[in-house]
Amino acid sequence: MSQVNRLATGGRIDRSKPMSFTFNGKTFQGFDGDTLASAMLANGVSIVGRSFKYSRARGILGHGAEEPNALMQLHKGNQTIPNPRATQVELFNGLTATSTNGWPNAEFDIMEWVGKIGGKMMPPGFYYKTFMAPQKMWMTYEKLIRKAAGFGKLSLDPDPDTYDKVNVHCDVMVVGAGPAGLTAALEAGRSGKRVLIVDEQNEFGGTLLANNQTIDGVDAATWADQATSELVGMNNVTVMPRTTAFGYYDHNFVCALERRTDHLGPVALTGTRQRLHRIRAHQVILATGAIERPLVFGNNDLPGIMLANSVSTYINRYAVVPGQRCVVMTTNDSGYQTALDIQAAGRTVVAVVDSRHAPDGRLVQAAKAAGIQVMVGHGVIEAQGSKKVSGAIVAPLDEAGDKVIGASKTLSCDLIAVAGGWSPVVHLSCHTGSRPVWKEDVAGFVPGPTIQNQHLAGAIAGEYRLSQALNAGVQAGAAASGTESAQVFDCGDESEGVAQALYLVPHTKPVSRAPKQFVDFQNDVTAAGIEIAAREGFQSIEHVKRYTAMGFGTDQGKTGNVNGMAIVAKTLNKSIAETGTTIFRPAYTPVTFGAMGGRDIGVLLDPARHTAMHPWHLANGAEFENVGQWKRPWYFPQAGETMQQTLNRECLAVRNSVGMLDASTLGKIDIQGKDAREFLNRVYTNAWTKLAPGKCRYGLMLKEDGMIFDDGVTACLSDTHFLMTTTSGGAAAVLGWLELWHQTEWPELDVYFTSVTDQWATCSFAGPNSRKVLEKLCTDVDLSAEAMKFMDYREGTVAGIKSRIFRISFTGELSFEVNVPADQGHYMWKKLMEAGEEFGITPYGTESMHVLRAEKGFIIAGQDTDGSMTPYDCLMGWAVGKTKEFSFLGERSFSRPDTARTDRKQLVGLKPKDPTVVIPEGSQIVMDPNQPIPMDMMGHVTSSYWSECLGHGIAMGTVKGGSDRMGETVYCPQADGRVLAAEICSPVFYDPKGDHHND
Amino acid sequence: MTNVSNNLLAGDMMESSLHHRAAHTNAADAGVVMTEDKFRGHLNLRGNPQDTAFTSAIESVLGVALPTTANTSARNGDTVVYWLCPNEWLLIVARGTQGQVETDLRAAMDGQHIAITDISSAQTLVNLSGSGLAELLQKSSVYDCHESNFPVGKVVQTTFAKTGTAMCKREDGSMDLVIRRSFSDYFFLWLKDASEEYGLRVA
Repeated sequence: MSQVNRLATGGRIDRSKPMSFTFNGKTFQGFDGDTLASAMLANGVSIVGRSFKYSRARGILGHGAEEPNALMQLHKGNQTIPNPRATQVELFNGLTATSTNGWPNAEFDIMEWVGKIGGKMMPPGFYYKTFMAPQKMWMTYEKLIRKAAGFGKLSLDPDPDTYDKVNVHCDVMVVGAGPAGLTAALEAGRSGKRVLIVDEQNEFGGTLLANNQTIDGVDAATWADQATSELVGMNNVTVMPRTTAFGYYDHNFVCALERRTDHLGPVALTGTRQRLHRIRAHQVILATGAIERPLVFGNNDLPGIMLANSVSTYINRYAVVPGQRCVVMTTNDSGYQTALDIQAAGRTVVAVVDSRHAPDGRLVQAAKAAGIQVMVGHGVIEAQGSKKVSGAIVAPLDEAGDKVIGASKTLSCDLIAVAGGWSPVVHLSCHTGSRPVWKEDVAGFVPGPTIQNQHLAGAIAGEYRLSQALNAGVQAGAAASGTESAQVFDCGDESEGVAQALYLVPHTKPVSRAPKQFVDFQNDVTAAGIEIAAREGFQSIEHVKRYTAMGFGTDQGKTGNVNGMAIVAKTLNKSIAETGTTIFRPAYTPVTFGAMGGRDIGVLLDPARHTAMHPWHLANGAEFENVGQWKRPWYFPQAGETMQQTLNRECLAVRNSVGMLDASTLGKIDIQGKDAREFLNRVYTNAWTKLAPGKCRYGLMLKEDGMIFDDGVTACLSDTHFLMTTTSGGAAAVLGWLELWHQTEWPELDVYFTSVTDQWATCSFAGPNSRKVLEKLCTDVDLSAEAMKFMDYREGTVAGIKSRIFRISFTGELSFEVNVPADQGHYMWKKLMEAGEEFGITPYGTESMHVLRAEKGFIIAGQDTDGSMTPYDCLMGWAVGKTKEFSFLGERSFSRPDTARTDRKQLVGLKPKDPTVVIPEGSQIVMDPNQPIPMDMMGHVTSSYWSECLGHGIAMGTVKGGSDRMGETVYCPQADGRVLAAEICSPVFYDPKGDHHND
Repeated sequence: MTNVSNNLLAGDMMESSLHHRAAHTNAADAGVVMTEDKFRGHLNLRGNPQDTAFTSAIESVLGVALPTTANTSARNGDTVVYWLCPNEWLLIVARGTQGQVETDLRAAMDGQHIAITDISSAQTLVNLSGSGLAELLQKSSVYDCHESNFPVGKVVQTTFAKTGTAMCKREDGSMDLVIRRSFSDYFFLWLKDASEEYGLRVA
């Protein structure tokens, strides 16, 4: 098929570079420089899809972001892209596009007949009203509705493309590179400011690229090229085409999506397909232009009815005239330019139908001089045609444009170009919370007051004439840069007639009886629908929007909203200023999830923290567990072992000989200052006044409410120097807690805190042979039981490395921890493994650590506690100092009645009645297994393991009044119907007297 | 499961947190060059900058005046001092000298309320340079690293992707970054990914 609508000359396309593409399976030709839309129009394609609700045939309406109809499904398989607007898709060779709806296809659509027959029965709220009952059927209805309606589809396969994000900073950001944006950027650029100018199109210039006016004697497109070249040549100016500023947030933070490779093909061969720019600008200039409004008249959605400005753009920029015989319907002077463009392209202008009774602007005169028939005081009240416009019914209107005042007649045509005035693109300004205000003299909503450092230039502010826009850009650029400029452009466009504010063109029949008059094409919202909504009591414009769906969808009401609001206002007998507007949220046009995710995916989603010994763990087959961001060895399976077999082997090694754990991840805080001891007194529950240098003590930290927050062992290195340890996950929170209290409440205490978590690598080895292992490597410390007692700390040399040695235990066995600077941690670990080889030293992970400590009844803060457990609830009253001079955090809460009552949930040991059973963690605990549901929940299981050394399952849990229930039987009902019985016992299952760790 | 290879196992008594990445090299014309200045002495210093006894003790030991203006640094040969907060500094000194520096500082500040903490193993010093540096930093940091906002010698504590860093601009336009040990591997994985379009060389 040849390009029937392509002009032989003109436009910004490259006829030497033909490109082949397919649409709905048919192959067409276009040229480099085309959009998919311009190429489709060049080939005479009229139907591009089916409408959402009524399945009516729809054609291309616009030429940019405003396009509501031409939503495409691009490419195939995992490369597919749903819902780009054909008007914004740059053509490339081999492009494959299909309509996003229409079944069996867009040309012949079964739903159309449903829409035609049932159309009258599908008022706004149709789905809400019709599919309400029975409620359980909604899921079925929904599937059918979505299949019948919906637009494009995502691939379910992983996206093969790469996306990333960058942070951008500038003095002045200019959004939009049309006439106002270009002069603004030039002015700011010449001032030396760091300038960023973005535009969503492939080339800069905006409307200048399709404008046949002159700027100071230079034709507009040439002027745009020159301006762009000057900007590109400035080192302080960043020029970004194919970049859509889609969100504008507080503090002049703007997000923009740069499409780097979409114009080249479905998948980026190298690099990044799309880049999200996170822009922080000192000053933002919005030069986003305006979108032409369609007019609302009968059957105004027929393919072949287009925005007048879009018709001009297709002619002048793409050398495509989308019709042979054209009627122009206008309410202002700009439609005349389109008529002139059509005539210049050699096609027929049947008539310009102008709703105004006495238009007399420059362009009106020019059209008349060119011999174009002008029908003043008329309107196109209805379009004729089935799948393509074939005629326009025109009728005389009264001066107000409220009613038809005479006989209508039909003009035969295949194109109706509609110029209904302009809607400033206020979307970005709305994002920051600024509500648009109605500006009567330009018949549009313009950005309202803002608290951002924001400037407006050009059509966004209602400055529609070219010279106005250029000059406004200069002034905005100067204001944003703190400069002054007297530059004024002359485009010879001063004389322009006053536009008429007309939205709904009256029909001879009332709105409810007239053929469908569409307001929102994408959501099939009609003038009649809006009237019904208003009559049904929806008066707030926000409610009308949600009831009718006006302004929903991917186009966000770019063409329809103002017309709809005008109809609401008229129905309610109010002014548009009174009914107001809905506001827009990001994104201006849809943004891919890939760009939002950027590179924060896979291994980069969240940092994995490694200890110094990580390489050893990897080489020795560790399975890892996430503890906070740390990768901790979970267990070290050997060939053929089940996890339980591994745990049994690891635990027995500790109980019988020696095992070693990488404890480097524990939080470590270095505390220095003469008041360090007093500070510890205040933040820990127990007393620190008498802890001598060389000694360690276990401490509990509470929040103000008296509940356990964290725990750990703190060593006294000297009277003014302590080393605190915290849980692995709690380190940052504890440091913040200490700083908070020091900085806000006790600044008089001389103490400093420094995180040393990453500084020290910790080898923790436990078991009856642990002393023997250490003695082989350390000769300058007396490690005997008499000289280095449980909870002692020494500095010494281990394997030639200056070390901190702690005799502390989390397993109940004789146990040492050797801390060395992390650069030497891996070496120390290997040396200890070598030294322990003769004793069968066994590396163990966090899971065995959990078993070993549970056998001893040691809690893990955060597992056995949940922010609602006091020390007393955890049977740790021994760790609470009752005679401390200064109070400690949380103490006062112990006297609250709820904290002091004796039937709180308390920590207990649970011994399963069936010794082979391991009760699932999280199981609820009840006293009477036969009680009907809802049962009285007495508590739950917090920790539960198989204890190989004891030969039975063990568990810890919380039970109401548990301390007084020793020996009682409790029950844990399971989801599978089993009921597991257990006896309440002491949580210390192993070595209750503590003989082992004191060895 | 992980991106750490077994060449981690090489090494002597000392292993920097980036040692396993040393083997990663690329074309000589790489746009990003990473150089780890490993095993430098890192000391965290706390004290009162209003106390001249404190500031003069620092200057006498280090031979450089303590920077007391926010986000600045001072440099004297191998010794660098980063301002971190109104009463906190990072001293980076020559490899192996941190123990002596700490001893000398404590002697010079005897009786004052100060804290000195050896954190040489807790972090490493990395230098990034090359033609792709500016864009790499834009991908990795929300901070504006442009020369107009980030002059030579400025120190900024901010995020580098999802880890923290203290960055200092060098005279040659390169950037020094302090990276925490446990986050080093993540740092490298991010760096490698972000510099793919420019090419990465580990010097």
